[in-house]
Amino acid sequence: MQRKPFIRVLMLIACLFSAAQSPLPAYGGAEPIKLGVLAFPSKTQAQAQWQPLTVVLKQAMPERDFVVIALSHPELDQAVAARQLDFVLTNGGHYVLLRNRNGLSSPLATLASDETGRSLTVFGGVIFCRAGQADINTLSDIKGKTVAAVATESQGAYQVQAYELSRVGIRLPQDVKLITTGNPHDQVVEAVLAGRADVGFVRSGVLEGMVREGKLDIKQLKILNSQVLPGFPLQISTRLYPEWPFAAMPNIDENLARRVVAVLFELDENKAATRAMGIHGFVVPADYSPVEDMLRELRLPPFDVAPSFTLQDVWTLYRWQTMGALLAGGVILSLAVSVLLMYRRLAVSHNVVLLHQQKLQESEEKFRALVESTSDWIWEVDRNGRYTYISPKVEALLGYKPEEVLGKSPFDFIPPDEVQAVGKIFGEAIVKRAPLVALENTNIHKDGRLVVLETSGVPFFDPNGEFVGYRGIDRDITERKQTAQALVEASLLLGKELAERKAAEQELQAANEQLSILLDLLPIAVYRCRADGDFAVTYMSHNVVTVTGYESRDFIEDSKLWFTHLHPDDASRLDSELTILFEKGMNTYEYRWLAADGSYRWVQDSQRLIRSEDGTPSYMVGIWQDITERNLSEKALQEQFHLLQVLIDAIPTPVFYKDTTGLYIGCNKAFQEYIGREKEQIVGKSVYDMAPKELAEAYHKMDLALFAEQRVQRYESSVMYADGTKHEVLFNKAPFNKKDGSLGGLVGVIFDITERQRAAEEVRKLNDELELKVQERTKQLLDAQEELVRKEKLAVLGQVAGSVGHELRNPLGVMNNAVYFLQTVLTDADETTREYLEIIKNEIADAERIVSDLLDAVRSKPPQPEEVNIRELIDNTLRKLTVPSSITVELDIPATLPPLWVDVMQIQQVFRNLISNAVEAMPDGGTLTISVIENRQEGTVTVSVQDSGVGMTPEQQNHLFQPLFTTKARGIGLGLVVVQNLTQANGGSVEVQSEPGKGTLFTITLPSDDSAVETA
Amino acid sequence: MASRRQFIIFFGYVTLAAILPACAWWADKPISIATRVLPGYELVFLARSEGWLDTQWVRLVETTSAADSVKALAEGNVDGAAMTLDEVLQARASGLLLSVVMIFDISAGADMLVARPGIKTLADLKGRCIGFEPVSVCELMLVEALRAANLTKEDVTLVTLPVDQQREAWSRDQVDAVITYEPVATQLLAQGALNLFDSRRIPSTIVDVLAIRSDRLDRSHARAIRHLLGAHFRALKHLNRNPQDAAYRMAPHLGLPAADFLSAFKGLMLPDAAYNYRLLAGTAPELLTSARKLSAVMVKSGLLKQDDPLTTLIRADFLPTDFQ
Repeated sequence: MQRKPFIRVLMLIACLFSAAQSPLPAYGGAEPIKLGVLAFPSKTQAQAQWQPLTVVLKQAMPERDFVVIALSHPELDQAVAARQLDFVLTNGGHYVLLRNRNGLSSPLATLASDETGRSLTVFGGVIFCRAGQADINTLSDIKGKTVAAVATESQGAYQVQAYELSRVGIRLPQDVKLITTGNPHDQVVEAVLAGRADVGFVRSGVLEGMVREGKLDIKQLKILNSQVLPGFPLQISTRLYPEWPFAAMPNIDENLARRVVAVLFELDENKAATRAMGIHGFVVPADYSPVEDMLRELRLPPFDVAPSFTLQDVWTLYRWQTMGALLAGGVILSLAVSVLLMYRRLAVSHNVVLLHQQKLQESEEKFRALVESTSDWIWEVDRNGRYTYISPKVEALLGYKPEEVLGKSPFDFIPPDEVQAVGKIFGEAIVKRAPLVALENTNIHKDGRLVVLETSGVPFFDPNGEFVGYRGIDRDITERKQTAQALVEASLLLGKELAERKAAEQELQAANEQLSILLDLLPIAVYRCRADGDFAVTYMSHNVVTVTGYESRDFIEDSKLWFTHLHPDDASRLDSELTILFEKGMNTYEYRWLAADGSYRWVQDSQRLIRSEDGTPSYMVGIWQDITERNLSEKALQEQFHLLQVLIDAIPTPVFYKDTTGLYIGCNKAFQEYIGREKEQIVGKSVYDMAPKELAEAYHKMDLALFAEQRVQRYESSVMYADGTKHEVLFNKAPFNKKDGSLGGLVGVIFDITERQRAAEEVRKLNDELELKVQERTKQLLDAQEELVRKEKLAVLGQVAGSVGHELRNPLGVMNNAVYFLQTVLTDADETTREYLEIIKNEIADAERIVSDLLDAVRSKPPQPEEVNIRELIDNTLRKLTVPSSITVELDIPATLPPLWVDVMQIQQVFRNLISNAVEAMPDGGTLTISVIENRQEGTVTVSVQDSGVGMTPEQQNHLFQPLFTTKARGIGLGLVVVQNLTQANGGSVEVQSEPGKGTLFTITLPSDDSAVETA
Repeated sequence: MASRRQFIIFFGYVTLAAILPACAWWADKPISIATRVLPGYELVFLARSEGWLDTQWVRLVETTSAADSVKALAEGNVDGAAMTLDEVLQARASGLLLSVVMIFDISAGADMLVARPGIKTLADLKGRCIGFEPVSVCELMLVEALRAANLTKEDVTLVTLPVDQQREAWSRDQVDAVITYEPVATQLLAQGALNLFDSRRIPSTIVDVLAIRSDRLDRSHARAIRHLLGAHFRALKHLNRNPQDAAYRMAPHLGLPAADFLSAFKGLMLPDAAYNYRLLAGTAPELLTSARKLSAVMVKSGLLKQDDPLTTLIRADFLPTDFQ
C-alpha cells in the first residue's frame, strides 16, 4: 500500500520529462501509425515478435506507415497519457487500468495465442514451488513464504495468482515475502530453482515453453492448486481470463480503426505472418469484466483507493436494521419505566390490604366459636343458592365435611324426584324474600341412606339493601318420620293379600273351562278310564260323537260299549297291546271299531297309564282318532307305486333314479341287466360300488353338475355291458323335486345308440371317399388346363423367339464381319485398340450365343459335350457378371475334381442364369455361396448355388420351371426353363430348396468325364 | 427462593440444548437430487466441482433419462430432480406429488422443428414424414407445431427418431422434418435445414425446473434446499461474469469441446435469483399461468388424463431474497 503513492509520483515525474526523453518518434505530418505493445517477455523479444504485423498492415494500406513500439508498463502508461500512440496491445489488467485512467476505447479485438497449433483466447497463471518442497502442498501453505513474481502490474504473473490466494484468505503482498524479478518470466523460475524464492508465479504457457527450449525439466517443479481442465492444453493454477485486448486511442480516425481491425481479423489466413508472430490471430473482442472484478477485489490500480464509507452509506445499506434496533431500544426503555412505577403502586396497596385482613380474621374467629357449638347445622347460601358457609355439624347429619359441601346447592343433596316439589316451595319463598319455616325435605347421606331434614332460614341483605342470600339451620327429623310411615305400610299389606287370593281362584276356574272347549274342538276323542276291573270310562270328550256316532254319556253309562264294538279280528290282539301298555306305561295301536252307522272305522288309540303314588296303576288316559281315510289313501299309493314299478320294468331301456347323495333309489329290469346285479344289490348303493373308481368319479361329477344346473343332461359315452359287449350309449338325465319343492334326486335313462352311430360312421366314410375322388378329378382337370396353357405359351414364344433371333442374328453377323475387317486392316494399331476389338468380338459371340439360348428354350439343340474344367467354367461365368459389392461371393471348389463332360456354352448359360437370379434375390446384399462336390460312385458332380436372399414360398416353387413364370419385377420367366432344359439335355438334373426370408439353394448334378465316356 | 427458580430455569435450558440435536425431526437433513446431463442443469455440477456445493448437504445423482429420475423420486431414492415442467405435471398426475422450487432455464428457441429446404411452411408438412424423440417435450413441440399448421397427427407420418440418430437419418434422406433441440438443431441448420417452428412460439412452456417431493419441503430439509439454490445461482453468476473460464470448467462434464460450449446455451434463458423470484413468487406467479396453459394443452393432446388443479405446484420460499 505504501508503494503506490510512490509509483504515482514516479509516473508524474516521467510525464513531466516525456517531451524531452520520450523513446518515441516525434509527432509530425505524415506520421506513421504507432502500435504500442507491452514488452512481454522482454522489450527486444516483443519488438521482434510484433514487427511482422507492420508489414501485413502496410500491405493492406500501402499509403500509410506503421511502427511497433515495445514499452514497459510505466512507459506504456506514460505514452497513453501523452497520446503518443494510436493503438495499444497489452494485457487485460493493464487495459482496464488504461481505460479507467486514460479513456482507452473498448477493445477492438482479442488476441488468439498459439499453443502448439491450437488457438487459445484465454490464459491464466501458474503457481509452483520446487518439487522437493515438502511443506508447500496447498495454497494455504504459501502464507509467510517467499514468493517470486514478475511485477505487481503483471496480470499473468502476479494478479491472477493474488486473486486466487485471496479466496483462501491470503492477502498479497502483506501475507508473503514478495520479490519481483521483472521480465522475462524465466527469471521467476530460475529464482525458485535457485532457492531464492519458495514459490513462483508465471503466466500459463511459460513453463511449457521453457521445457520445449530445454531450459527446464518439469519434474523439478510442483504445480500448486492445479486445475483439471481437459480442454485447456496448459498447466494452470487459477481461473481463466481473456487474452490481451487490442484497443484504439479515443481520438483515432474511425476509418483507420476499421481497416486495421479488418486486417487483424483476416490475419489467421496469413499463415506466414502468424507463424512469424507466434500467434494464431485475432478474434472478436472478449468481455473483460472478470479482469475488472479481479482488480476490484484485489484493490489494485485503478481500484486501489478504498471507497469512502459514510453514515449515509450505513443508512442506505442497513436502513431497516438500524430502524429496527432504534425502535426496539425505545420500547425496552418505556417498558422498564412503567414496570418500576407499577411496582411502587402495588407495594402501597398491599399494606392496606394486610391491615384489613387482620381485622376480619379476628371477628370471624368469634363468630365461628359461636355457631359451631350448637347441635343444629348452621348454613349460609348466596343469592344463587350456593353454600358459602357450613357449620361442622353437617358431618353428623349428612356425613360430608363442610369443605365438601361449600359451593354446592341444597338441591345437590335432595333426591332428583323430590327436587321439583321442594324447589317449588323454596323458590316461592325466595322470590318473596320470605323466611323459611320448618320446611321438610329429604336429603341423601354420604353413605347413601335418606335423611329427612327440617329447614328454617331468613334472608339477609348487604349495607345497600341488596339481597345477598339466606342464613338458617337444619334439623334431623328422620326417626320421627320413619315411625309414622311404618304404621301406614302394615295396614296396606293386609288388604292386598286378600285380594290376590280371590283372583287366583277365578283364574283356575276359567282355565278348566277353556281346556274342555279346546278338547271338544279337536278332531280326536279324549277319554279316561279305570285301569282295572271293567275298565269303566270315567270321562269322554263330547266330540266322540263325530268319530263314532255315540254320545260321550253312552260310554260312561255302558262300560261294555267299547269292548263289544271291537272288530272280532282285532279283539284278539287286545291282551298283548294292554300288556305293552302296562309294561312301558304307554302304547299306540290301531284297530277297527263298529260305529253307530254300522260301518267299521279304523281308529288309532294312543294310551298312557297313570299310576298312583305307591306305583299301582290307578287309571289310563287315551286319545282316540279315526284313521280310516288315511289307511285307504296309503293303500292306494302302494298300488300306484307297484303299477309304476311294473311299468318301468316293462321299458326295455335301462332306467334308474338316485337321491341327491348319489345313492340309487330304484331302477328297472333293463338297468339290472345292464349292471348285471339284482335290484337289492343296487338300491341303497352308489355308483362307486358298481363301477371302477375313475369311471365312478366321472359319473358322480356329471351328477353333481346336473344338481348344480338343475337342467336336463344329455351326453354320449362308451360303456361295457355286464355281458361283456361294448355299447355306445346316450345318457339322458333330469333332476326331480320333492313335493316341498326341494331337490329330490335324479332320473336317468340310458339309450343304446351303437347301431345308429355305426350307420352314421359309414355314411361319413362314403362322403369322404367321394370328396377325395372329386378333388382328384378336379386336380387332373386343372393340370391338363395348365399344361395346355404352357404349351400355347411355348408355341407363341417359339414363334417370337424364332423371328427375333433371326432378326438379331443378321446385324450381329454384320458386326462380326466389321470387327474382322478392322482387325485385318489395323495391323499396326496400338495394344488398347486391339484389346477393345477383341472385347467387341467376344461380346458379339456371346450375344449370338444368347440368341441361341433363347431359341434353345423353345427348340432344344443337341449338346456338343467336351471336357470342361468346372473351376474355369465358374470363374468365367462370374467374370462376365457384375456382382454388386454388397454381396459377398464365397467359393468352395475342391482342387481335385474330374472334368465335366458337357456342352460348355450350355452349362455356362445354366450357371449364368442361376447366379444372376441369386444376385437379384439379394437387393440389400448378402452372401452368394457356390460349392462343388464330387459324387465319385455315381460319376457325377454336384454344383450348389445358394443365396441368402428373399426366398420363395412352396407355391412359387411349384411353378418355378414353368415358362413365363417369374417372381421378379423385370424378367420374362425363361431363365429357369433354360436351366432345366439345358441341364437335362446334358444328362443332369436340377433341384431347388427354398424358404421365404432365408434364401434359395439350387443344386445342379452334372455328369463328370468318366461317366460320360462310359455312356459314350 | 429466587436463586432456586433461576437454577431450575437454567437447568431446563441446558437439558433442552442437550436433547435438541438428538431429535431427528428437528435436525437438518441432507437431500439427494437426480439430474441428467443437459446444459440447463450443468451449473450445479460446476458448483460442486468448484466446492460451492457442499456434498454433505446435497448429493447429485446422475440419471440417463427423465423416466429414471421419476422412478428414483417415486421410490424415494432421491428427494428432488431436475426435470421439465411437463414431466413434473405427468409425475403429479401419476400420484407423485412434486413442487417446483426453482427454474433452471427456459427454452427460447432451443427446441425446434426443422424441415428440408423444399418445405417452406408448416402447412407443407401434410403427408410428410416427421422424426421425433418419444419424450413429452418433443411430443409437446409436435402437437403445438401441428396445431399452428391446423394439422393433426393423422395428416403426417411420424417416425420415432432419438436425437442422436437424427443427423444420420437426415443425411440418408429418411425424414422430411424432425423435432430436435440444441446442439443437433444447429448442426442440421448448417446442413441446409429450415427452422419452421421453435420454442419461442410457445413462450414459458418448455421450462427446466428443480422439482422436490412435496413431503420433503419441510423445515428439516429447508437448509439443504436453500444451499443448493444458492450454489446454483453462484455458479450462474460465474458463468455470466467469466463465461470463458466457465466454458473450460463445464465443457468436459457436458462432453463438449470448450469452443462449442457456449453455443450449447443458445436459445436457453437462464433466469437468475431475481428473475426466478419474479416467475415463482406472488399470488399469481407467472409460472403458474404457464403451467395451467401447459396442462390444458397436454390434456387436449392426450399427454395428461385430466387437468391438474396445480395446488402446491410452486414453492418460492426457498429462493434467496438478498439479491439487489
